[in-house]
This record gives sequence, structure tokens and C-alpha cells, in this order.
Amino acid sequence: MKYKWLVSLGLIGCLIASFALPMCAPAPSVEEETPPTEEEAPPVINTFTWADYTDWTEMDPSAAFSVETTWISQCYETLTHYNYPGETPEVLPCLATSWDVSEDGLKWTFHLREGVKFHCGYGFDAGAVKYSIDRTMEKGEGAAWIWAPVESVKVLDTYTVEFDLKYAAPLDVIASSGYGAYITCPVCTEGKTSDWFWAGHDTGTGPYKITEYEKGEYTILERFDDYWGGWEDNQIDRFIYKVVPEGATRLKLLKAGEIDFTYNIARESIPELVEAPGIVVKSFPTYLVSYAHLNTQKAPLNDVRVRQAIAYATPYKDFVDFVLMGYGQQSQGVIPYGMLGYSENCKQYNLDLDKARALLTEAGYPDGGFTLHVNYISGVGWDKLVEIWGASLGEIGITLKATGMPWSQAWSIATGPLEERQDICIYSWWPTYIDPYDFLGSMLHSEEEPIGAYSFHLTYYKNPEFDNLVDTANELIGYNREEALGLFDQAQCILMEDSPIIPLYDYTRVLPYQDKWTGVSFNPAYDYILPLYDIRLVS
Amino acid sequence: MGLRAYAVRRIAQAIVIIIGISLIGFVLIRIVPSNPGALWAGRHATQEQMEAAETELGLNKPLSTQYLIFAGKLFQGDLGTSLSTKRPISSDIGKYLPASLELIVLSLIIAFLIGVPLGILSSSKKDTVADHGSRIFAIAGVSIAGFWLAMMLQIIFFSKLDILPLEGRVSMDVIINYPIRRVTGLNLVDTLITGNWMGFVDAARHLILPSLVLAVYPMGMFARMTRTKMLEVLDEDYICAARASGLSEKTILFRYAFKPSAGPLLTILGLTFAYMVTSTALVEFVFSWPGLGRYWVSAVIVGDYPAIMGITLVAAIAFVFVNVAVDLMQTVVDPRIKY
Repeated sequence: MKYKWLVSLGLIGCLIASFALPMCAPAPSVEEETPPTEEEAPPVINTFTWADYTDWTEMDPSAAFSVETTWISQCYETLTHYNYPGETPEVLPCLATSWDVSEDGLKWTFHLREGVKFHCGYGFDAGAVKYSIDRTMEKGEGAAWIWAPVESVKVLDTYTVEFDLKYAAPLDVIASSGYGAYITCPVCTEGKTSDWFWAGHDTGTGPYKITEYEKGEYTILERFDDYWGGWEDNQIDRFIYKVVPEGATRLKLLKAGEIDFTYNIARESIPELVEAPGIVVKSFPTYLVSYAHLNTQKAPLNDVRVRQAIAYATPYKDFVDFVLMGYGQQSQGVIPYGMLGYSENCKQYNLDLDKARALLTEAGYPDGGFTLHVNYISGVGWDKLVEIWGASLGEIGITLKATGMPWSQAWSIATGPLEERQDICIYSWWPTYIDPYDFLGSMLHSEEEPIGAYSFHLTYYKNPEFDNLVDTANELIGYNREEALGLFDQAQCILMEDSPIIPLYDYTRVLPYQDKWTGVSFNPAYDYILPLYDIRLVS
Repeated sequence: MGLRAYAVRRIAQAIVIIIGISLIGFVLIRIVPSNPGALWAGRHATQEQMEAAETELGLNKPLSTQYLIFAGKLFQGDLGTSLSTKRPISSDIGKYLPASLELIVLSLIIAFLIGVPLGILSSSKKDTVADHGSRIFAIAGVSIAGFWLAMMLQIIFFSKLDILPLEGRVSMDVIINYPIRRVTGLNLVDTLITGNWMGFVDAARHLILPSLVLAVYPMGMFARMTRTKMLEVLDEDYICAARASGLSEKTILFRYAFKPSAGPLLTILGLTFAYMVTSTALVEFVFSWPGLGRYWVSAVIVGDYPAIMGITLVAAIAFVFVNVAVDLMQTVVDPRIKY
């Protein structure tokens, strides 16, 4: 063909044009509304956009137990709601308006809110509560275990439901859990498969409903007009969640005003955001604590003096300054600051290398001289932590060999053959519902092999006195708060003395958002959740 | 032997290779200590729940039995269920593969259309400023860190100039007001088929930066390969004869000197395409592109066996069959090759 070069030139020209043309096209923006009709002015839709790297891992409210609470908590509701730290009452009404418990703590009666509608149209009543709890227990997935104390759920009348327990438990708090306590519509949920949920449907009573879902890309929630709480003009009408896995990209989006909020921001970027115009940066304490779990069954950690020495050789202040960039605090005790059960009565360890050396010498290791294998969860920024910790421990002659790995691998090693287990495992804990047993029992109640059947116990600590205290307290807390808390306190002090677990720091969340919004707050009882219904546009 | 017989033989070999890869992958995944039962049961699960999960997933059976079950399901088109999302892998891959393909195909087109002429220019003007310039450009292309370039382009075109979008496949405005109806999963194609002009423009704008970033490496490779091959050829007698008989330089360059490069270029094109199916993870992370690379990296990190196997198979199939196709196309490009 004679004019092949002309054809090629033409093709290249087309290619360039197809790139240049779109570049000149006006950028579509979210602020543009649909074209107005002749009759009315366009409705103003207040849109709030949150970008982050997480996505749904489960869409069934009875089985969800991970970060999807971000969206599930907006579409579904629980009977009660746990209040902010320091506020009273401790437990707020939500779908239940009031409740009472019998003397022996085995019978809980909830009086339900009237006039509540599910998104699919049906009305909320006691039957829906029974259906939802029964369904969660039957499925046995996710956080179903929180209902373990429940023998049966009885419908007394349309708006009264009774829980009969096998043993006493704080059902008002359990019902406020951000996992596994959501109420779904019996008619609309019955017979639905997992595929139906994954297609982006919800069956809740919450202020928002799912309108669009594209896995790995976005979730769009829109306001449910018949929500029982009612609506005002400057609330959020539409909530857009975009999956943006790269932190630097999220930062650019935030600074350009294209998103309103992100939950996970690299600590190093915080000063930049504080300076940026139009962005508010607020920090909130959480109930998230990072712990070093010491293998109490392996020498030399089986000697309490060695464990205490390590606790005295831990640079707590450096962790806060260099790992958390100042946003956090040293833990006191095992229970996080501000949470029910938090105590300042117990032994507190501060960096004191002399005390550490003295204890090591007493235990027979005057110059340290041993190596500890540490497994820690990768991808959380603990590489720096183990470096700092290793340097400090090195000063008393202990060598730290640290390996980062995904949780499933760490778990597999920790519950595997005894000789191959780690010396120290570092992982964080946060509550499923607010109860000291959630921390003290789940992580430290003794367990027979095989480890892990009922708990996350990776210190392998066996202390019958401690077990007794937490077990008794666990029974009491349903109906005798004060006595239970006293026992939990005693148990915590035993732990701090024995030091099978070293709390490394209490984590503080730093949340940036556009200053056009107000009411952005964070309740530590509900991690990964924003109170969207409470957020308003600044007028 | 004949082309047909050769093709059949190569395809048969390809199937054997894929089976071999699946076996190796199957065993390799299980060497890294992880806990698929824990992954399935969820973060706060008890040991009881995890063990129940392991039984449910058939992980207690002997390895050979597990493999046979896996192979059996595969023949029915069932790639298994993801441990972390509990979704069928085939639907996940069906969602992410077109997104990756769109990006890869576009970037290879760009790489070819810029890299090859650059190489030809380079070779015809050997040792001049033009030659040195394009050689530096080509080497920069193969050396540059993809994610760094991605972020630089984002800063320039989004943060400073504000003429291109920062990330994603389409903007929220299009999703809400001009939703793209999915036919093939390739946004450019779907929007044209359904007559969604706003969607097409938006999808194209979002494709520019990521495909440019991905194109840079193959662009450099094509330029260097073309230049090398052409330099070899330009010294040959028949080129001298062509010049002597008065043919224009343009004809000589593009018709006669370039032809022998076509074969090797085709081979690299095939290899690069197959390789890129899973190696685009970094660019996908930076641009929030819901592609296969990102999916693969996430699956490997958490130890999601079925997902890793599924993607490995997809990548293996792509690799092997693209190579077979490329080899078969050599007969078209170079009539001297007969099978």
C-alpha cells in the first residue's frame, strides 16, 4: 500500500485526539445535580464522602464481625446504644426505650420503641427482635457468641420482649454491641441467600439504606426518609464510601476537597493536614490497646522476675512519641483508659533500666544473655516499635528477633506445637462490647490445650486465683455492677504484678475532615464507625 | 508438519503446562504457614469455629484428595470460594479482569505506537542528538519506578493543574447520574455500545494517567529492541541495493528494514501482555484501580488459598496461550517460518 505512512499518521492522530479531547472536556463534579425539571427547583443533596482502603467482608448483619460495621451500623440498629466515655447513662435507648432485669439477673425485659419501620416497609416489633437474635445464634457466625448466655427469647406482646438466660450477663450492654446485635426484618430477611446480601440489599431500620454497591470500588448509602428519628435540612442525605487503598492518594483527595473524611491516615501526614486550609483534624481516645503477650510457659519468660524486668525495660514514652507520633498514651493496666473497669490502683511499670537489671540478676541472668523471638502483625507500623523496643532491651542484654506476619500465620504458630511457639506475640485488642471480661477473660483466662478453643489467649498464663476472680465477676456484672468491678480490679492488679502481658500503648485515633461539617465525633465503643446521623453541615 | 498440526501440538503442551503449574501452585501455597480456617472463620473466631471451618473447607483431607477435588470443580467452571470474602472466585475475577485488561491493552498500544517509531528514528539517525535523546528516554522508561511516576503525574495533573482525575475508573458523578451499563466490563467499550457519551469521556479521562504509567516500561523495551534489530539490518547488502536502486529512505526504513523486527517485537508484546496481567498491583494501588494485581496481592498477604490458585491459573492460562498465539502469528509476520 502506497500511503501506509499516511494511514499510520492518521491512526496516531486519532489516538492523540482521543486523549486530548477528554482532557479538554469539563471535569464532572459531584456538586452538579441532575438537570432541574420545569416544575421545581432541584433538591439539594448533602453528600458526605469517606475514602479508605477497607471494604465489606460480610454483608449479612447476623454474621458481620469486621470493618463492615462502618456501613452496617448506618443501615441497621441495635436495641441499645453504648454512650460516650464519661457520659451518663452508660447505656442509651435505641430500638428499646427501657428495660429491666430480675433480682437474680436471669430475666431481662425490653420495652420496644413504637412506630419504627424497616427499609422494606414492614413495622418493627418484638417478633423482629426474636427473629434477629434467634437467627444470629443459629447461624453461629461472627459475633454470635455474645448471645451465649441466652437460653431463649420470648415475645410477651407486640412491643415487649423477654430474654431468659442460662447464667447472669449484662444483656443491656451486650445488646448494644457493634457486632452481632443488629435487628433485621423477619419477612424481608427470611430465605435470603448470601448472594442477595452481596448484591447490595439491606433489611434494617437505620437512618441510611444501601442504594449502590460495587465490590472493591464504592458503597453508596442514601437516607431513609421514614427513619423514626426524623430529619432536618442540614443532615447528610447521601453517604459515599470510596475504596482508595493508597494513603498518599487519600491525602491528595482530602486536600483537594474531593472527599470529606478518611479514617486511616499515616501518622507522618498529620502535621501536613493540620496546616492545610479547610481541614479540621481531631484526635479521639479509643479502646484499642496494643499488647506484648509473653509466653509464660517458656523459659526464661516463665520466671515472673524476667517478665517484670522486660516491663521495666520497655520505653513506653518512646512508643507514643515515635510510633504514634504523639497521638496516644502509655497504658495503665490492661483495660484502656476511660473504659469500664479501667483502674489506676495497680502496679504501673515505667522505663527503669536499673530496676530491670536488678530483677534479671535476681532471676539468674545478670547480663541478660538470651534471645527472644517476637511475632508481630505486619502492616500496622510495628516495625518501628520492635526496633525501638529491641534497642531498649538490648541495653539490659536481651536480644529481640522480630518477625512481621499476617494474623493467620501468627495464630497458626501460637496455637501450634509447643516447641515452635513464639516467645512474644504482639497484637492489639478492642472490645466487642464494653465489659472488662472482654479484655481480661478473652485474653488471659487460663485454657487447657488445645489453645484457642474459646479465647485469644497467647500468654498461656495459668492462675486459678485470677480465673476465679474474673469468672465470678463475669457472673455478677449483669446485676451487681459494683461488686463485679471490685473483683475485676483485684484481678487486674494480680495481672500487673505477674506481668504475663505488657500493654504497650493506648491508641488515639486522629481523624481529619472538611470544615464544612460539624458533629464529627468518635465513640470508642464503636470502632470504624462515624455517627453519620449526627453530622450536620455548618450553617 | 503443517500449521494445524503444530497448533494442536502446542495447545496440548499448553494444557499440560497449566496442569503442572496448578500442581506446583497448590503445593507451594501450603508451604507458607498460615491458617485458612482462621481466615474463613474471621478475626475474633474461636478455635472451635476455625476447626469447623477447616473441616468445611476440606483442609483436613490428604493433599492429593484436595487437589483432585479442586481439579474436579475446575472442570465444572468452579474456581472455588474466596476465604476472605466467601464469594465465588470466578465472579471476583470476572469483575477485576476486564478492568486490568482495559488498562494493559491501552498501555501496550501507547507503548507500541510511541516506542517503535522512536526505535526506528533512533536507528536511522544513529549517533546523532535524536538518537541519544531517544535512547536516554528509552532507558529512563525501563528504569523508572512505576509507583513514583504515578504519584508524580498525580501531583502534576491533578494537584497542580487540575485537568485529570486523581484515581478510580469513573467519577462519582457518572456513577450516580450516568451509570455505565456493564456489557463486557471494559468501560470504553460499554459506554460506546450503550451510547453513554458522558461515561465514555469520563472513563477515558480516568484511563490516561494509569495507562501512561504502565506504558513507560514496555515503551522503553520496544524502542531499544527495534533500534537494535534495525541497526543489524541496516548494514545488510539488500538495504544498500535498495538505496542504490533509488527507493526512498522512508520506504526502505518502514517497509524493508523494519520487517525483520516484527517477529521479535511480536514475541515481546505477547510476553509483556501476559506478564502485565498480574504485575500491575502498584499502579492499581496508587490509582485505586479495581484490577487483578491488587486482588492478587491482597490474597497472597492474607493467605487466601482459593483466590491465589484462581488468579495463578488465570495468569498461567494467559501466559501460555498468548505465547502460543504469538508463535503461531510468526508465520504471518515472517513467511520464512514454516511449522
